[in-house]
Amino acid sequence: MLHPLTTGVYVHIPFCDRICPYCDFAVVKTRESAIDRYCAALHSEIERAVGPQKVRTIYFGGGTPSAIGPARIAALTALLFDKFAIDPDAIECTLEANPSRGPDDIRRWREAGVNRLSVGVQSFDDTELHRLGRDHSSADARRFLRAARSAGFENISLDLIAGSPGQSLAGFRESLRSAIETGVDHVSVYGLTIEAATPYATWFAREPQVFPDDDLVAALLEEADSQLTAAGFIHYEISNFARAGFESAHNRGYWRQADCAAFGMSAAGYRDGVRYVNHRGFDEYCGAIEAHRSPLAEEEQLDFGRRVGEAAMLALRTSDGIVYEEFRRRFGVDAHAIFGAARKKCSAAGLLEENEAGTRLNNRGRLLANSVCAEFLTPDLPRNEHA
Amino acid sequence: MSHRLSPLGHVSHGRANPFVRNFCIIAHIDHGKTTLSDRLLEMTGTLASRDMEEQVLDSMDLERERGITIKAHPVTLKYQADDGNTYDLNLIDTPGHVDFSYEVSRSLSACEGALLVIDAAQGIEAQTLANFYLATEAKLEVIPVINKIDLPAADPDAVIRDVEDTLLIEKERCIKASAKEGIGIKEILEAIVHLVPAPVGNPDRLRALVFDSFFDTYRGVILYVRVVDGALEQGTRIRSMAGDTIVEVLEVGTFRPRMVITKRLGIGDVGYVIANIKAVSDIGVGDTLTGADAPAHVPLPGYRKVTPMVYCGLYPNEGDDYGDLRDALEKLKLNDAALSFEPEASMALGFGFRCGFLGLLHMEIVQERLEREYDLSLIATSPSVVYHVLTTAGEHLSIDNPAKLPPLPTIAIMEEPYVKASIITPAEYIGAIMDLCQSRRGTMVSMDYISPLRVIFVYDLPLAEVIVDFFDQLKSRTKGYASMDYELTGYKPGDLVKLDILLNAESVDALSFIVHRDNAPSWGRQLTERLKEVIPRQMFDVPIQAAIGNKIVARETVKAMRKNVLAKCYGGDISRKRKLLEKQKEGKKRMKQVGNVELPQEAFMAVLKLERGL
Repeated sequence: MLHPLTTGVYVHIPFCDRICPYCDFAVVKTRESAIDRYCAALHSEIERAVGPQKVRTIYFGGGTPSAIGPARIAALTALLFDKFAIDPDAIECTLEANPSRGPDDIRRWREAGVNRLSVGVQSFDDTELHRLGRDHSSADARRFLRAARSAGFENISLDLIAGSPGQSLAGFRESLRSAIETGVDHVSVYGLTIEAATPYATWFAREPQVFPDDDLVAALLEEADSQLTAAGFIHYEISNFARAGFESAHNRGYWRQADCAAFGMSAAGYRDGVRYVNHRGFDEYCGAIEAHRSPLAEEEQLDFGRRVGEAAMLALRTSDGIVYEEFRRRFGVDAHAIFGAARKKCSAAGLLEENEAGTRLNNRGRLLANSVCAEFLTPDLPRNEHA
Repeated sequence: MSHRLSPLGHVSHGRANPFVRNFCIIAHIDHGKTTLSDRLLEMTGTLASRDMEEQVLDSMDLERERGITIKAHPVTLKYQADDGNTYDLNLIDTPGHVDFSYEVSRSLSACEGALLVIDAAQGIEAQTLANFYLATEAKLEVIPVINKIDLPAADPDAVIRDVEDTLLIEKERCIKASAKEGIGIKEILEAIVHLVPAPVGNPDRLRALVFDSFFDTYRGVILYVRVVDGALEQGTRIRSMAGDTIVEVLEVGTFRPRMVITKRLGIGDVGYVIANIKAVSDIGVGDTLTGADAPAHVPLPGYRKVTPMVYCGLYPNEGDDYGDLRDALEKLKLNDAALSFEPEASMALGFGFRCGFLGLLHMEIVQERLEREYDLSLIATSPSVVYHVLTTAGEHLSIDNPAKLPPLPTIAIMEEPYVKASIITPAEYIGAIMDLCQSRRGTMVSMDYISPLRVIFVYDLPLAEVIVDFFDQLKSRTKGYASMDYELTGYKPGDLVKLDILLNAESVDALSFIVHRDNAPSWGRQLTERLKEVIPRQMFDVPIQAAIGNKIVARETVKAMRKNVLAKCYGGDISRKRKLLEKQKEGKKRMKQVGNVELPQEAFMAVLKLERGL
């Protein structure tokens, strides 16, 4: 069921030609028969959704959406455009892509209506790429980005990883410099998280010294901030930098708790204060759709306090921070007051930048966002309100 | 901390109870005492073998888990001996740890004989000796049982030689056995009948020794007694000679092993008494029961109020649980006369209780029971002994909490408790033991060879040095081979100071402890280093200082946390992240907020983990 206020659509493509040793997303190794079965399920799930709605963004995430071939992407965009009465020129349509794909694929994505690429470059250092288990080189990445521009993509983002095994400050500086040089419009810098039950977790348990410690990763993230902002990027979210006007509209939707319809296994959506997520297993998801059952695995209705706390957690990640006027408008609360204790504590620790209009993380605060957000998760709501 | 007792004083002109034998089993930990008890029960048909799956006499979960006996449980075995007579063999189990040696001594004094179980592979250990001395002082007939002879490493003949040399018992008395395999059990039963004297007593004036007691929710306190003189029956009005409490007996019975009502308990009998008694502290272990109407004049020897040796603060993790903690302590106290507690308040930890224990094991057991059985989350401060202080104003103080120590300039003399520690070790670890004891301010009293390969040391040691990590160090430095027993000897003056710990320049009372002046700087250094390890990085720098008075002796800093941020926060990450942060916050609740610093529970026990000296 879709809701009239839906503004985002997320489509999960779980396939990868090679599964990265640090990844714990819902991914499946590429196999033609599995892709066919999955895409059929996706089409059914989308067709069953109920309109009308005002979709502003589409996001193909994964996995590696580029792994299923451009024809299938084109089929999906055609279905979505038709189903939700979308004018392709009026929306942002992002595809996550692996730089190992060739120019032909890139051209056909553009023709299918994709107008933004998020490219999994990760590093411009070939040793780091090897350790990350990637199937492309830095030369592949440069080639890919040039081809994307030639194909008419005017909004290109790339990802970099900070904290990969053996990474040094000097090496990371080089990757940043190369990223800026390619002329991309948007850069995401992700601190490596060692996820349980991944090959990296085993490696880390055995040789923790190979991995940059928190102090070094903090230095890497600070370096990203200084280089990218010096190059004209805006640090508009903890992990995201964009040239003015190139912020990810889809992701901004998440950070404002906008409704989002989600399709595919493990896809997570939000509507009317309910967060939901589809089955994480491939067979469970496909099986549910094929049997005309709901693919939902979990639903969580957020109570008012949780919604406000979550809104604060998300707002604090962005450069806007918590804007009091906005919280008054959205929730009818005095954010200055209900977060008084959290503000006081984090302010005393030197992590916030505050004025009459709002509060946001400063540079140190951004690196300690978890500690700050944890304090803001439980607002002191007046008892009689919204009981 | 043994408690020397004189024997019951078996009167020669009294009347004997020829078909009763009272005996106990004593052993070093893990030498097989419980298995042997089980086997004796099985062999005499007291319990069928199919009921023997569990070790019957250790009934508390904790006891079974730790392989130790905390409470002494009696049981009567009916045994038809080779002489054709049927005997009541009363087995009085004894606690197996040095903390509970007072209970051991009570149990021994209810018997005429003791089986001394010795592991045929391990040989004589410290508690073998300590228990043997207690038994001989109680004038018991000691029958050595060389157990576990089925083990490949067993060398029973060598152990018997050591028994002859060290305990001065003829080798003919030793019985080779394997409780596990059922070898030698019959011989043991015959030896009890023939070597342990029948109890003898005066039929007139009742005297019964209370050697243990137990609180039952429905029936109140159940006293475990050994009748020495006279008899106990339902309706007997009895008086406790130490407490002067007078109650009427509602029920008497014996243990088979469940409680079975009998008409009367006569001379030499072991059984239970139920009267209208509310708490175990009303009639203490070691007390003598006599008739209220025709009382005896002299109590049985040896009643002594047990005094706690080790104190620590117990605080609820959540302030709201204070009432629950008090209720739980009161309930434990019903059944544990040795436990003491008084309310106390700490600047750092809020409201809690100062609790007194017999020793470290007793402390751990009480804490564990509070957490498990009463579902409490507790913070325990590091343990302290009781210091005697004479102030310059001439006042005598007993200090069981370092935070309560008066300022140094007002202290004229400070004394601390000492113990006599007996340590048995393979000869190759002589150096390791000497180093350890020296680093703990110990003075060697003696060093003797049990055999060419085994040495017994006697050291004079401050108790404060023994309660903190001594036992673990002893075990780790001797690969687990050394054993130890100790008894309190008295107080001696010492050059002691209070070491305060400051976090963010604020003194944390719950972390203060008392230490010898010479050791203060090194302990301060180690404790600040240790705290640096256990205190998680916070949003700001946290200086940790150790100070004597105003003088800082050590300093460390927990650097501010640099990075704590989740990279991605899109679609599905949002709930996951919110839940993660909620969980982090929940976890933080278990930390104690001291000033603006969040302290984990381990911080309060950090002092236990210091490596002294060396």
